[in-house]
Amino acid sequence: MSKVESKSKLNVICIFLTIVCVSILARYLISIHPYSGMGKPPMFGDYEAQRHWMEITTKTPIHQWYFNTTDNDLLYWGLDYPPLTAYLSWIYGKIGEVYERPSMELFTSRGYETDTSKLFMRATVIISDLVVWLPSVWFFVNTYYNDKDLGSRILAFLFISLQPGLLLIDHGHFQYNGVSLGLALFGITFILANRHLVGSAFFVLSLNYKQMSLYYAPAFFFYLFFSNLNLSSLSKIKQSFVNILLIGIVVILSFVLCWLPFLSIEQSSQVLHRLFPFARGLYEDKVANFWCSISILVNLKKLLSHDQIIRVCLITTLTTLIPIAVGIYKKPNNRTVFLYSLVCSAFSFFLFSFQVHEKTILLACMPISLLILKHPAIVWWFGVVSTYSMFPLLFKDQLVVPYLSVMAVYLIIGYQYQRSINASTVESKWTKLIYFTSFTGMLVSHVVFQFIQAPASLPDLWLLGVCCFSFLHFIVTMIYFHHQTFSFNPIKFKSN
Amino acid sequence: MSVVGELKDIFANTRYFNLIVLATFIKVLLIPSYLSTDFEVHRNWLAITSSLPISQWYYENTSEWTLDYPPFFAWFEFVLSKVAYFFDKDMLVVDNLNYKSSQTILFQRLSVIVSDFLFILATLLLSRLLYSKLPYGNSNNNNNRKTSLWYQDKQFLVSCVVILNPGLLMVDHIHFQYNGFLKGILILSIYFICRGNILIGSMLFSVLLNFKHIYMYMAPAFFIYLLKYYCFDLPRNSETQSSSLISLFNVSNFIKLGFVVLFVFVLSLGPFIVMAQIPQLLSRLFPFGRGLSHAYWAPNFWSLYNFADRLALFLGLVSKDNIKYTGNLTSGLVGSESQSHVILPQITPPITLLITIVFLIPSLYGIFKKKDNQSFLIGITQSCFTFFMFGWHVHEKAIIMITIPLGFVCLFTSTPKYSKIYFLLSTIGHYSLFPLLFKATEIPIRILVLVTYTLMIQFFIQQNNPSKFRWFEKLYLFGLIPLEIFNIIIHPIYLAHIEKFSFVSLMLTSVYCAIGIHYCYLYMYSIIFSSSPNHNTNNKKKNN
Repeated sequence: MSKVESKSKLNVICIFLTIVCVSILARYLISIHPYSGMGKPPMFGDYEAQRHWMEITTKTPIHQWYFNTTDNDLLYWGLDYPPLTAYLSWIYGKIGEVYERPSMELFTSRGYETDTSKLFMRATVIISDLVVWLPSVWFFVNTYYNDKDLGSRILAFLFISLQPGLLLIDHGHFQYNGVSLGLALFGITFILANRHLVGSAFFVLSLNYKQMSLYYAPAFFFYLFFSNLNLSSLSKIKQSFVNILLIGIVVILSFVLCWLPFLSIEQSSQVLHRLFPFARGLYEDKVANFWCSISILVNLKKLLSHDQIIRVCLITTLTTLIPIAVGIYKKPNNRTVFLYSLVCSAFSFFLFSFQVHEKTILLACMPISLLILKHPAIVWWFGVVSTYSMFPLLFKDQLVVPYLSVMAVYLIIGYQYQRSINASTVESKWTKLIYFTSFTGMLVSHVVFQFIQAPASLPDLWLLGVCCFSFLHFIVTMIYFHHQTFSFNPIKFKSN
Repeated sequence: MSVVGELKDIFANTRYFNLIVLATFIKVLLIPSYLSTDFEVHRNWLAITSSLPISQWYYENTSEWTLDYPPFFAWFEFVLSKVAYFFDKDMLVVDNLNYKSSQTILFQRLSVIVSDFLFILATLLLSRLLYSKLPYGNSNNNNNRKTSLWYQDKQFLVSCVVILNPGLLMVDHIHFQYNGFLKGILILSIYFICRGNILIGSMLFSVLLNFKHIYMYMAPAFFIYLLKYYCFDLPRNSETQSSSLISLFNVSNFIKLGFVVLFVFVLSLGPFIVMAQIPQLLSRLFPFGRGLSHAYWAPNFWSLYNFADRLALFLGLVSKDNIKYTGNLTSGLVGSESQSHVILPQITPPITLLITIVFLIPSLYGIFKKKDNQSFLIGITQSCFTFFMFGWHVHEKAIIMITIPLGFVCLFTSTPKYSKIYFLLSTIGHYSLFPLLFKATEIPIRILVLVTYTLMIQFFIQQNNPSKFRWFEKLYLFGLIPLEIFNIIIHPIYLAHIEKFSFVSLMLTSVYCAIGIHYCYLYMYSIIFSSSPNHNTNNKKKNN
């Protein structure tokens, strides 16, 4: 008996090590390809920004990090992420100094590109993934899908952690989204496990790593608020008040902890100013959101002033958030509804808010991918669409080869995986039609993009086409999940 | 069932399709990785075959990388050059030495990846042939098989083991060579012979020899198998031969076989016979001037021999006056022609040939004794292994020729020895390829690829054919970890710049792997000579 046990234990260790190796290998194979701004002076790209932050945080005193000084030229990739990013940059910068000193020198290291320093930078992203993103996904899978067997949990883990969009942006383009998404996912999972205090602390960490996590804030807020609210009796009201107050205290404490060196008025206002650059445009480059798509029909910038645009964005975003609040209010303390509302909240911001990047679709992509075992078909399909919407960016970064490879693997293996989850259901005619139009559209646009020159008068025509086409997909997905929130019947789901 | 029918049967199960997709796109992702001089070698051959008349192919020497593969490979390059034309014409100019445009890289990389499909299909066919008839779980039901768990489907696992071979990935898709489709021809030839289509099989093997003559390493096994089981009409399953050999000789089969083989060779060498270029061709194909060992010693017998020589010198076992030759003592990594032993006797090609033949004879015992697929594959492997161990100027890359055919036997249930030997040889042998990928970007790839693969086959083996390792085997395998740490961290930082120690890393890798590979070599003999699975072998203890 014990022999059998030790054998199966060995097997489990073997499986886990294999999974870790496969996870690293997949990431590393993408990271040998170019990164954003490779060999493009004078500004380079996101890769250089991250390297520059390591240089700045290790070489200048902490109170100068967010300020324009002789050593810190904010116009050259000045730090515009919250303190946790800066701390992490400092840690990696310190290691980088030991590993390859010239790559971290002040000024002289700008645009520093060697094979070894690329290896170092890529390794930092992979290590961040290993430390934050992968454990968070594993934790989630074991919490939310705890009724499933080990095999399907492992597959779900692989599916969620190997989403093509995240892989290509983090390990191709170069960013550390795995950290902010992982911290947010830790927050989500702790809340799903009814550990609201720890969950909100993790969410604050995520916010302080990358301000984009604000996209999830409404869902977190409404869920925590309504789930703790119980007005049935006086003692319950008291209890609710204490619970909510406790959460508030934890949130404030975590914020204070993260911002400890920046607590003076002068420091904190400068940091905030860096984090929310309202002076920038409505959207960066071309984005598959509402504002970019309607720019074909109306030119908002001519109709409204800059301040008015910001106000319009704020109002539309808040309006689209209302159904989320209603949904959670009607079904408080429901784990699946929480996930739906995370999706919808991220979509509201992505589609309607001000200053959106194409990469932020990853914030919608993450909570959607979590639903793989509930809605396999649409989750798989959305992974394709969201990656497709970032194709113009990846094209600019010379990442077409990894884009095609990762997409091909995801399309083919992912398709069979999602079919295997609900093999019993037959695809309806409508589903097939949606698949057909959307995949044909993507294929055609790729061919056009690659082989046909855009007309000289409209050089961005194809780009805009990709954005509008993706926008259609996104709005459909958003409506689908709103619909799911309201039609969701907890009892029926349990019987399934 | 026809070959096409068998392929249809295989692809009825989508897991094979997934495997191909995964393997292919791993290769595609490796496109931007480091390219060795072999890339330029093959570019040069493209240029030679496309722009010069056949009569010049084996004389052209603008580049130092002259054409030194047999004619079929030259024709293969000729066909490729027709496609290359559409990617970048300039790569087809002989004088464009070291030409590396992005289109050239893309074309050459893709040509390897596409030609690899032959390897993949051949592997799928052979693993079906070998494993689909084996008892499967509790039932042999076909429908049961398709819905079964993938990690208990041996046919699929063996396909994975062979197709995802890390050595092939490192040598073909990073370092750059065309071993994949050559292995494909080899596997197809084995497949047809095992299937009973002897003539097609032997024709394919002759074709293979005319693509790359290094496959002669396997020729003895094929020769014995064909001679004994095709040219002689031996009654099946009988080990005793009652009637005289002559009366059993099947003349018509012998003539058929001879004709097929001769036909292939005439097709390949004919033009050069007509042009009277055979001596020139042979001098290109067999450059004996290159020395006993390659720059990086392949981990074989000569590696230990060289090492013993250096060690004796280092320890001062011989007085300085007796040393006739001191040119390369400090470099250790002795280059081609000038290789010379200081203390131990000099080795010449005839000596290596003699030793090889001596060790070949027992290698072929298994094939001679028993006609079954297992002994055939093991015999092929061991024949190749013997050449690897004792051959003249063996490349470390030749280890893949051993691990690929051995991969097919790794899940045979008759004895856990098969899976054990494959695990050992795959880990040690593929580790010995590491010095090929020495650049910063590729070091993580080589480690990740090998570790992932090793864990994967460990999982497969534990699921289906569990085998236990002895303590010294474990110790040896885990010893590879400190060795790798030494090679990638300690040596480059502290030792590489000291001339005396610059070669230590390579030598240590070679010698350490050579020890394990000797153990595997002897272990293979123990498999060949143990008739029953339970038979305990004493060879295990003969560790070098």
